Order: sequence, then structure tokens, then C-alpha cells
Amino acid sequence: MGKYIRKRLLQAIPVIFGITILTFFIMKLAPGGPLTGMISPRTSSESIQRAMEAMGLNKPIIVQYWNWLKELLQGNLGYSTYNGQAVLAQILERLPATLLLTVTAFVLSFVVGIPLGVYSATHKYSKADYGLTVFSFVGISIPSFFFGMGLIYIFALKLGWLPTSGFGSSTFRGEGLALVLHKLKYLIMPAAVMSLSNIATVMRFARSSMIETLNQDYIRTARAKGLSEKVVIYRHALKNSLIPVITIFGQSIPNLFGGAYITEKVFAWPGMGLLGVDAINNRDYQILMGLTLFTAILVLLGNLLADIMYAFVDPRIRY
Amino acid sequence: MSLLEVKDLKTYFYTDAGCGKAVDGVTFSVDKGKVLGIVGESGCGKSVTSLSIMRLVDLTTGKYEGGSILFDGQDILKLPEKEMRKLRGNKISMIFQEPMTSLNPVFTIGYQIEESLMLHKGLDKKAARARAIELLEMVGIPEAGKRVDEYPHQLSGGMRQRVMIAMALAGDPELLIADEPTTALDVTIQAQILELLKELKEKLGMSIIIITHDLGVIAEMADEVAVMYAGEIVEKATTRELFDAPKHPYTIGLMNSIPDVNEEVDRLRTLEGLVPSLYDMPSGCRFAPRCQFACPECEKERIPLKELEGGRQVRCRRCEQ
Repeated sequence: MGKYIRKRLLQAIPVIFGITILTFFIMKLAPGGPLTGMISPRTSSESIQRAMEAMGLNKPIIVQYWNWLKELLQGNLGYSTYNGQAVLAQILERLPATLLLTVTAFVLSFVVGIPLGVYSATHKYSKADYGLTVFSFVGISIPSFFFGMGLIYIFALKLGWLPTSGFGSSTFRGEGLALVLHKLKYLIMPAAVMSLSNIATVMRFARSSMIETLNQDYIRTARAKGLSEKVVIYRHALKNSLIPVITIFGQSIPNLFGGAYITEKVFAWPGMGLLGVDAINNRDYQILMGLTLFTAILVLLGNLLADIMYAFVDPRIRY
Repeated sequence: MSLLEVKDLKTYFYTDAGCGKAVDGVTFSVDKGKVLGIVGESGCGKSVTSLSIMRLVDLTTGKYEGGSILFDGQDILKLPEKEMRKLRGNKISMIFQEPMTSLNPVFTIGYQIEESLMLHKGLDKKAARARAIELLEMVGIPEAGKRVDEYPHQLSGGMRQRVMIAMALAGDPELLIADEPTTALDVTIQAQILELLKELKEKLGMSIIIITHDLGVIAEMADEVAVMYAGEIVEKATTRELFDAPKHPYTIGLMNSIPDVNEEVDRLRTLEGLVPSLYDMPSGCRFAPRCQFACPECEKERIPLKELEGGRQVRCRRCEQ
């Protein structure tokens, strides 16, 4: 097991290196440049030239990459071209909010999705199963910005139960549990939006995987042993049926971080997604590169976690 | 007294294609310490018969439409599910055709045996483990103490079938149902597994129902044989009688299709035609469409199973004369 994890960690190193190359050159391919956001028709060509030299943009692209990579290895992601602040500091400032949102959505997806899928599979073709199938269909189909605005309209504007957006009121002075509850109210809607389609996906996978598992020969063996249906389903079938669901686990991490851009914008959630949307508007290349790299590494770690979980569940991978 | 008495068992399946009479009025019994062989082609209802005895027929489409299965004098078709579970894997256990897929891949073989022991014997974890190792030794697994912690994928097919047998023995069964236990194994392993089953039968005094399409396995193992065709028993006799003088045209056909080692043949003899569909049975004798002795009379009405001298039974008009 330890050997397996070490191997996977070592394999991640070249992948991270590849990510830096892709991140850097895709940004360079994008039309415009860091300066387009700063210049006006009246800016003289000398000052543009000076700015380019100051930023090292006049050097060959390979040299630019090398300089960027050198700084990166020392933990320096560069400085925002828009406001001059350190990129890493800005990302780290936004990271907790995004992690709170994505981890909540992530946990919800599996904690809600798996039991629903198992229920659906064990009550195949019942009314509840059809109901859940319709729910998952809707959940996958509905665009998140639309669902988000719908929730805001109903629960914030019409019912007034929840705040429309943001992450805590600046006038709130509570502490301890009161503060947690206050923040929780802000979390509910964005977390619901982010998890809905994931819950639906996980549920569908869990359902079909469970149905398939229940048809396996070893399930018949388990029944032939005289085990109760509960033990057959939750001990013998569940662990096997989770193997394909873990694939979703790995895949849904990039989806969540991508989804965070839209959801955070809709709910003005002060996370990395919102930072990214603003950076795009401001043509803030350094921030975008930093965010892309950072997100890619998080996704990589997520997949690594999924691989390790595979090994935990399936002894055929472990050995 | 018979350990198991199956009387007029009917197990039907209801699907979009109609009503499939997979087992249609099957009657047989198994005495204590004896081996009954059930032989027949794929789809003749032999596996459904065994699943019916375990009450493991999928009830979303299947239904026990009639008859009784008396185990130790108790009709198990009438038992509540909870009582039935106490018999399964305990007094009646079963091994299956596919040792490669019949063990759960995510649990160690030790755990899978211990589970039965804890359930039926009330052993604690430690005692169950010790007993599991004992059982593994009994079925001839070398280094059982080490193997107990291995996963199914680390074992070969023959070893897995041995594990299945060990698991089936966990409850000290009075009846072991072996559904094609050797079909998926290669020939040398087949012989070993049959040898093991015979040895365990002698040692533990249990009864065995062995289900197979292989007459060789029957000859090796069974005291008595029931030949099944299209959901019915067409002939029942002691193994010796059956091999000496098969009566039913179907049995004769099966015997003839075994190649003789002393004879050189270009083509193997086969039974012409196919088993009729479960959903579209001939109204008269079900074998008539393939039978070389069939006459118009045969197709008129269902043929009853007739008892001949010496207690053997045949379902054929010809044999009445």
C-alpha cells in the first residue's frame, strides 16, 4: 500500500511539470497580452516598450518560461499586472472560501448521491426509483447559473429566508456558534447549486453500478450463505459497486473547480472563482496563470486521492 | 427416510415473452448420504431446480407455482424468509459453476468463510478464523494459514472452487448442492475436485445433489440419476441401470453422443435439433420433435412418468408397451 502511494506521488511530479508548460504557453497563445488592459490610444510606444522590458516580455518565449519557472520553484507566482499584489497571496486569501464551498458540495454529492443511488437500485422500477430518475435527469440538465438565480429568486427575494449573496454580513458581530450559523446561511444556496448536478451524476452511477453488482455471481454466493439481504447489499455489494463511483470522485473535482467560476460569480462568493472571473475581465495574466496552475495541482491531488481510494476498496489494484 | 423430497415442483418465470415453465412438475428424493445426479442440456431446468431448493430463484420474474420441497420433513417452500436463511449455507449449501466469479473480489477468502461460521455457528472472530483455516486444510489448500488472508484474484480456478467448497462446509451441511462444480475447470482439476467431493461425502456423511451436463461426472459420482429435459424429468434410475440400459430416447441419444475411445469416428454423433423454447413447449411429449421413434400419438397429450419394474421411471409411451 505504502509502495503504491509512493509510486503515485512520484508519478505526479512530471505531470506537474507538464502542467506548468501547458499553463504558460496557453496563456501566451491567448490574444492580447498583459499590457492591453493598461494602455490607451494615447500611450506612447516608448512607454509600452519600457513596460515590456520591465516585465521581461521582450525576451524570447523560452527564456520567459524559464524565468517564470525559476520564480515558481521558489514559491513566487509573480505579481498581478492589474494591482501589483503578489499572486500567491491573493490566491491564498481566496482559497479558504473556495475550499469550503467545493468541499461542502463534494461531500454532499457523495453523502446524498450514493444512498439515493443504492435505494434506487434496490427498489428498481418502483415509483421512488422513477421519481429519483426524473430528479437526476433534471439535476444534470439544469444550468447552474439558472438554478442559482432561481434559488435566489425564491429563497432570498420571495421568502427572504436566505441572503442573496456574499459570505457573511459586514455588520454581523456574533461569535462562536452564532457566527458559524450566520456563515452557514450564506453557504446553503451556492453549495446546493454546486452539488446538484454532481449528486445527480453520482446517483446515476451508483444506481447502475449497484444494479450490475447485484447481478454478479458472488452476490448469489452471499445469498446462498444465508446472509440477510441487508448484509448482502451493504457489505457485499456496496463495496464492489463503489469502484466505478470512485472514478466519478476523481472526475468531479475539476468540474467543481470549473463550476466554482460560475457559482461564485452568481452568488458573489469571495473565492478563487470570483478572483478568476475578475482577472479575466482585467486581463490579469499573472493571476490567471497562478489560478490555472493552482487549480490543476488541486485536481491532480484529487485524482491521486481517488487512486488511493481505489486501492483501498479494490485489492486487485493494491497488489 | 429421505433427507430431501421434491414433489411436483413447478417454478415458472413470467416475462414479456410469456410464461416460461423452467421447472414443470419435477419429483425426486435424495436419501441421507447418497448422491443424486441431475443431468441435462443447458436450459433444461436443472439449475432452476437447484436454485428452487435454495429458494434463491429471482422472484421479480420467477414464481414457485406449485409442489413442495420437504427437507427433513419440513416444506421449505412454506418457510418464512428468515427461517429459510437459517437453512441456507447451513444445513443446505451450494457451490456454483463459476469459481472465478463466485467469490467476492474485495474480501479475503478467510473473511468469506468466517462470515458463514459467525452467522451459523455463532463463533467469535478468532474461533471462526481458526475453523476457517481448518476447513481450508480439509479441502486441500496448501499453506492454509497463509492463504486465509489472500484475496480471490490471487488463487487459481481450482483453488477458488476448493474455497467455495470450504465455505459450503462451514455450516456442516446435510445436503450439498453442486451446480456444475467442474464445468469451468480444466480436466485434471475436474478430477481432483470430484475426488475431493467424494472424499468429503464419505467423511462427513452428507448427501449431494450434483448437477451437470457431463455424463462422465455422473458416472463418477452419482448413486442415482435423474435425466431432465425441457423442465421435466424424463428418466430416473440408479446410475448403474442407466448406463447399462438407458430407456428414454433422449437418454439413449445422450449416451450415443459420448465418443467411444476404442472406435475411430470421423464425426461425433449428436442429437439432432434444439431444446424447445420455455415459452413455446410442444403440447405432447416435449422430446417428440427430436425423437427418432416419435409417432403422431406422442404429440397428442403430455406423457406421465411411468414406473417400470425395479423402481426406475421413464417418461415415454414406447416404454409402456
